[in-house]
Parts: sequence; C-alpha cells; structure tokens
Amino acid sequence: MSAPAKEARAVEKVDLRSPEEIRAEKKKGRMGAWLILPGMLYMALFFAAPVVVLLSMSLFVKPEGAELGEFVPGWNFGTYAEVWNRYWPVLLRSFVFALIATVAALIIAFPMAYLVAVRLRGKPLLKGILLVLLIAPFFSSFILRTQAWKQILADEGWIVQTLKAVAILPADGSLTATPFAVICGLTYNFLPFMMLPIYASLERLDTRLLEASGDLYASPAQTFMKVTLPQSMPGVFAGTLLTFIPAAGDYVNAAILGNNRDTSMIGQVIDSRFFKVIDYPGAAALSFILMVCILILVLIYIRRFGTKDLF
Amino acid sequence: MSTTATHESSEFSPVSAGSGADLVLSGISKHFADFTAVQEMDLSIPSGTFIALLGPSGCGKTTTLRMIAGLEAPTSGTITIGGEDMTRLPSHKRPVNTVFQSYALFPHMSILDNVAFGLKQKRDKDAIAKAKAGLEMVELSHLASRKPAQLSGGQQQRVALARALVNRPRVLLLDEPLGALDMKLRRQMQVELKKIQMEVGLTFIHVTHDQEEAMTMADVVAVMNQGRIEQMGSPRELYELPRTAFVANFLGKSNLMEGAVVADAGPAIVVDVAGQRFELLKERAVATEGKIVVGVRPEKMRIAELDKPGFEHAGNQLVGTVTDASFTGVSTEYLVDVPGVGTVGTFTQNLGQDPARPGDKVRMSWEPEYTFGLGADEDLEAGVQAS
Amino acid sequence: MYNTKLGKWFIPVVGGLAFVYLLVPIVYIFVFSFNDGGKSNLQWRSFTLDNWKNPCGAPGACESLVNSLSVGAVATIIATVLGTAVAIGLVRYKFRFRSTADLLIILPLATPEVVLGASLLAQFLNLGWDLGYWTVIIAHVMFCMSFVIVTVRARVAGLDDRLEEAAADLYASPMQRFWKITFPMLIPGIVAAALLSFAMSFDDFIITNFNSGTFSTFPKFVYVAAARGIPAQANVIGSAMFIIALLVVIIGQVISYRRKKALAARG
Repeated sequence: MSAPAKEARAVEKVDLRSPEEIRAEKKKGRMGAWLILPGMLYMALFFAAPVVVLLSMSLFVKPEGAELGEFVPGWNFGTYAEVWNRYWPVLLRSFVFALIATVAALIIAFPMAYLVAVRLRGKPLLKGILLVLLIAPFFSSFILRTQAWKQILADEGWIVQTLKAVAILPADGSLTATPFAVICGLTYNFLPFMMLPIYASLERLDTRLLEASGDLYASPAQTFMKVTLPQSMPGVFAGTLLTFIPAAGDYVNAAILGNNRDTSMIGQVIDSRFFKVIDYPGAAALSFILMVCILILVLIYIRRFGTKDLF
Repeated sequence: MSTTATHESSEFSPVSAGSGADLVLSGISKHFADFTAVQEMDLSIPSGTFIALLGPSGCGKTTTLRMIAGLEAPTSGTITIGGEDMTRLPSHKRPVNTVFQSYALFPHMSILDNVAFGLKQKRDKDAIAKAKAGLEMVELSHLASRKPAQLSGGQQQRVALARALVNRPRVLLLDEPLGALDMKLRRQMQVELKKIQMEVGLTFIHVTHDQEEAMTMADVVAVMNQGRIEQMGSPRELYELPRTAFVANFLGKSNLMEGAVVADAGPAIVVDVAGQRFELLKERAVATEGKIVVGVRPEKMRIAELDKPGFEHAGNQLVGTVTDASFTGVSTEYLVDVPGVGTVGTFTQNLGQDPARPGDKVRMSWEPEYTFGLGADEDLEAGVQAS
Repeated sequence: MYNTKLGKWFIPVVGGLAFVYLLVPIVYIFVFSFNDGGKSNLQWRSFTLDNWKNPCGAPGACESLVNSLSVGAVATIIATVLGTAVAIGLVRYKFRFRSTADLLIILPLATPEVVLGASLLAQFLNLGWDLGYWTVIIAHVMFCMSFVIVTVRARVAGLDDRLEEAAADLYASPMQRFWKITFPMLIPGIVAAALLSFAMSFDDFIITNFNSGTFSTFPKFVYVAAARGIPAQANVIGSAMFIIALLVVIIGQVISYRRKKALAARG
C-alpha cells in the first residue's frame, strides 16, 4: 500500500450506520469466529506450537557426561553456527536441485496443462481421464515409483545399455546414484503439484483472446508470451511454490536415487541427525534454518512475482 | 423530507395513513458505513398497483427494494404491509417475493424444484401441483426437469418470475428483471409481465433505469434520485408536467431555459427568456415569481423557415439557426442555436416536408399550455442521459 | 486460427509424452507385480500370478496398507470437516485476527515436510506422547487441513451470495439456506478437497516417518523394505490401488457424463 493511501485510511470516517447495525455486524463476526475456531485451534496446537517447541529444542544443551539423546533446556546458540558451518553446502545443493527440478517441472507441466485445459475443451471424458491419471499415481505410493525409477535407470537396465551403445553415456557411466537421477526424481514426483494449478488457470483462459491476438498481428510465439503466459501466471506462481518448497526439503529421492558423495540433501541430514545421530538440537536448528531460508526465498519471490490469488 | 408534491389530480398521494394503502414506507433511511443510499423516504402503494421505481444507477432504488424484501435493514423508519409492521422481520418471514436481476435460480435444482422451493418452505401440501401450474402460466411446463444452465436467458427470467409468483406474495418485487435480455425479448417480456400482473392483481414493484420500460408497464412511476423520490405519478403526469429538472431530463428530453417572471396575466404568467416573452399557466409552474426555469418538450414544438408565408405559429416563439438535422425515418431531429438561450432541440414528424437544413434561420413555436415552469435553483443538466 | 501447424502437433505430442513419463514407473510396477522375483524383485525372472493370488504374502504388507487406508480415512474426515468450517468462516465473516488465521493456513503449505515432521516430533517428545496411530493422524490432519481450506475457500468465494438471498426471499431460514443452497453447491469442492486429502495422506512418507514410531503405513513399509529388496506383493498392492483409484473416478465421471448427455438429449 502506498503512503498516501495509508494516510487516507488513517482519517476515520464517520460511521453513518446505527448502533444496532454495527452490533449486528459484530454479532455476525462472532459467528464466523466460532466456525474457524476449532480449525485454527488445531493449527495453533499442532503447527504453530510445534514450531516454537522446535525452536526451543534447537537451543538445548548437552550436559557433561550425558547419555546419547539426553539434552536439557538452554540457550546454546552455538548449535546454529556449528550446523551452518558444517552443512551450508548441503543446504545450497538442496536449493539448487529444487530450483532445477522446479524449472524442469514447469517446462514439462505447461504443455500437459495446456493440452488438457485448452486443447481438450469440449472433450470432457478424455480430459477427465487425463486428470485422473495425474492424481491416481499417488495411490501407488511415490516411494514405490521412485524405487521403480531406480530400477529402470539401473546400470544393467536397457536405458543405460542403449545410451552406452550409442555412446551418449560413457562405458563406465551410470544414471542412478548421480545428481541427474535425484533431480529427475524430484521433477517426476512434484509434477502433479506444478501441473494442477497451471491447469486451473489455463482452464479459465478465453481462447478468443488468442484469436484476437493473432488478428492483431502477433505471431504464435508472441501470442504465447504476451497473452497465454500472463493469463496463466497465477497458476505458474502457485505451481512453482508448491513444487519448490517440498522439493527443497525432500529426502526420499536423494536417499533412493542418490549416492553418498555429491547428492545428499538437507532433508537427509535432518532425518539422520534426528534418528541416527540422535542430535535433537542439531536437527532442530537445521530444520529451522531450512524453514527460514525457504520463507525468505518465498517472500522475495512473492514480492517480485506475487499475485494475491494464492499466497 | 417527503415525496415532492404530485399533481393535484393524482390519486397516489404520498403517505396519508389509512388510505387503504397496502405497502407503506415511512421515514425510511438507509446509511452504509460511508454513504447514504436512501434518505427519509415516504412511499405509500395501494394494493394491486404496478409501480416502477425509476432512476439512474446508485439512486437508491435497489436498496429500497432490498429493504422491502428484508434483505437489508433500514437504519431508520418503518415498513408496513396491510398495517402489519415488517421493519424488523427477517426476509424469510415476509409475505414478499423478489424476481432478482440475475434471476438467482438455484443451479443444482431442476426448474420444477426451483419453482416449488418457496411453496415447500411454507410446507404447502400442493407445492408440486402449484409449481407445475406456475410453470404452465409462463409456458415452460416442457422444461420442468431441466437445470437452469440449460435454459436461455428469457426462459430463466420466466422461471424466476414463476418461482416468485406461485407463492402469491402480498407484494412482488422485480429488480431490473429484464436488464439482461436483448431488446426484442425485453419488449415481449414487458407485455407479458403487464398481462400477468393484471391477471393476478398483485402489487408489483418494478425497479428499472429504463424510462421507456417504466412508462409502458407501470400504473405509477416514482422517479428516484440520490436516495429520494423526486416525483411520483402516472407516466403521463410525469411526462407532461415534470416538477424538477431531473425528472424533465431523465424522463424523455426537455428544453429548459432560465428566465424571469415579468407579468401576471390572471391564470397565466409572462416569463422573459433572453428577450423573448413566454406565456405559462400558473398551475403548471412550481414558482410564479422572480427567476424561474421554463421548459418545453421537443415534440411539442413546430419549426419552420423564418417568416415562411402561410405557416401558422403558436403563441410562444423562439428564433435561431439550425446547427444539426438528423433524419431518423419517422421524424427529423433538429438542434437549433438560439442566441442567449443555447441549443434547443425539436423534431418534426415525417409528413414528406423538409422544413429546414443546417444553417437555415428558423422560427420555433409551441402552445403556452405545453409550457412548464420549474424553480430557479434547478440544475438544468440534472438527469441528462448521455446518448 | 491461433493454431499454427507447429502448434497443432507440438502441444499434443509434448503433453502426451509428459503423461507417458508420468506413467512409466506405474507400468514398471505393474509389470513387475507379475515377476516371480523372489525376495528382492530386482531382475525379471518369470511370469507368475502368485503375487496377485496372495497379495498379503509378504509379512507386514497388508497390515501397513490397512493402516494407511484407516489413517487416510480418519484424517480426511477430520481435516475436511474442520477445514470446510474454516473456509466458510473466512470468506463469509469479517473478524479481527483474520490475517493471523490466514498465516496459520498458508505457513504449513510453505513449510517443507521435513520441518513439519520434525517440529511435530519435537512437540510429541515434549508432551511425552507415545508415537503411533494417533500421532500420525494428528500430523496428517494438520497438513491436509491447509489443502482443504485453500480448495474449499476458492469454492466458497465463487459462490453467488444472491442465491442465498433468493432462498431467504423464498422463506428459507438461515439454517435451511445453508443446508439447501450453500452446502449442496459446495459439495463438488468439498469432495475434491477430501479426495486430495486422502491421496496426500495415503502417499505421505516423510511426516509419517517422523511421527509414527513403530506404527507402519504402506509408504513406510515400502521404504523400509527397499533396503533388503521390495517384495513383489508391494507392487501388487501399488498397482491395485492405482487401478482402483482410476476405476472409481473414471466410472464416476462416465456416469455423470452420461447423465449430462441424457439430460441434454431430452430437450
């Protein structure tokens, strides 16, 4: 909001309504509060409070001679410095992987969404089937699917053999256990989250606009850049966020499709700090750093490209 | 403030309690947080009347309607129907039904279920039979099992009408119900609506911004402006004798000229407008002394080339130069520049003659009894609609 | 026409290929569900129907599936009821702390699962609650509710207020208005939100892994089994669930499509 607008709002206008009307309005507001109260209480208890607990846990101190997993409340900010110095390259890698996967998913999802939303207008049955195909894989478990990719791309699989035969891949090369495999897995897994919001905004696209643009001398490429893309921006915006955020924190793809050297992601580290190393403060601090970094990136993104539609 | 005084002969006087009036609004105001929609309105509508609330958008006509329907609570004032106070009664307990501008048909229900909705709510045992009869009345029985989305705009409009009418409300409210229809369908529906109203004999309150629609359908027209009723009466009364510049301009067109009363001639007064003397009946003037505004409807004027021999002119006359003539088939419209007065509009019926062309000097005249007089403080441009 | 020759085949081909990409692993899972692959099911050996005849043959597979279905159903019901109420409250009523409410809905969507899982675990450890069925449900309700609210809210915002006014005008009391007009019109949105919720709950691994203790869900079963080789029965269950989901929705669509067509034909 610009400064003058704020000032204008600051000048209280005289409310012309009768006290009764104002009371009725307030009563209505109270009823709305009752509707949202249970849900909001739930979110406060199981989202907001846990984040605070996590924050305090990240400051816990390991007492002298403590057993494994024993910590006492404290103010140990040193944990943050420690995990940051140790894991910032992993954090950076997580964001780079997530970014590449998001761009790749956008490139793949857009034609899908356009095909279903625009080209298949008037063919509700085919359209419906394709949309179901997008959601149904959830029920076959993404771990199973990721595992399937691992086996499809395995060294002894026909894809790698074929690539080696035509010398695209060197004789000792492989596809699994590489950053490439992890990024492919991320792209694959979050594709529906990219596609659905784009589909939703393209579905409202008025194809007469495209004809009008063509009529006004725009080439198909110009029409795409100047009409189609801007119209689908809310969807692209939501889709990129819904892909990037979970991808940055994901560890299943890195665990299944990666190696121990150059593919580990921050989620893996948090998981192993929690369950293998039993370093609760370290894991909590890393979680918190991840959350803050993502929020900062998301806020910058919203400032730059945001619409009010979703976030 | 009360409704502007109507013509003496009007049987529809503003609130006079107990005059057999069915719907009575007294002192109704509606303030929203930052503006006033309706101000101190008094309105009395006898049972069985077809009244049109006519005015530009934002004049408060829809808010008035919504207050009668109970969808909006008045800030002050009372609403009674047949003597019963309805002011604080919620919408679903009022004997009033509305035909909404957007029709507001329930998209998830069939046409028959839509029409039967109100009857079922009232636990009417014959709900379905009455709904079917209602559909028959609007000639849509064959579409009873369809969904609203499968109907054309005109058909939806008729369903909305049937849905409201089958409840036999004491008052039927119509919120610009024809606004979304094309011209031809509109005319057809206007005739049908009028016919149905005469058949069922209910009180109809029709909100519209279309003056032609208001005049062709309603027994009484109330012209609204800025939250007030400017004038109320039969369409002919309003047209022939507007009492404010807003009514003169909003309802048809008028030539309004500022002048001053210079003489009293018994039943009439003489007004000087830029050196021209006009006669005006006292009973047709809001003010009879000092500065006033003189008006005349364009079609009441005759026009001829200046000093055309043998042309019979009426008593009030103006001389000017034609600046524009547009031929519309049935008539020719002229804009004439009159020194000291401004542009005056007039038209002549197409009788095969061609009295003047742009650039010609002409004389225009009209009978003194067609002249009307308004108060001096009127804004001459009030209510002028962009064409 | 806006379709050029290039555009005519480009979009269907690329879009079609993307769908193929999406379905390749499903086909692989399906094919290998017929593999007589022994314990690890990594190499194709020979065709068998044994896995399909005995889907519960692998220890823990069916229990985990039942757990997943149960968690999915319970979490979906709770999240849908609470979330729908919130969505309606947020759109229809004005009140203070609105932006706080907005934040509580949006932030979980902008938080990676690993953080949601870790913070809930920290909370449960702090409260001293035993991890298991109910902690998983609590976690699932939390992340599903945000999706329900966002989905249903869009639907509520798209509702025409005038329909409720029309119902009020036709003698419907506020409660009747809600149940006869508003709610029926929200049903498609609520069903979509519930389906999405169920799918997300059923397929969730990360948050579940943090908050389940020894309680197993199907994704967790597969993840744990992956270390020693996933039994072919997991492929059978994965394929069967995929096919069931597909059939349920497609049959639903065909029925509604037929009904619409029949309706259109009647007039």
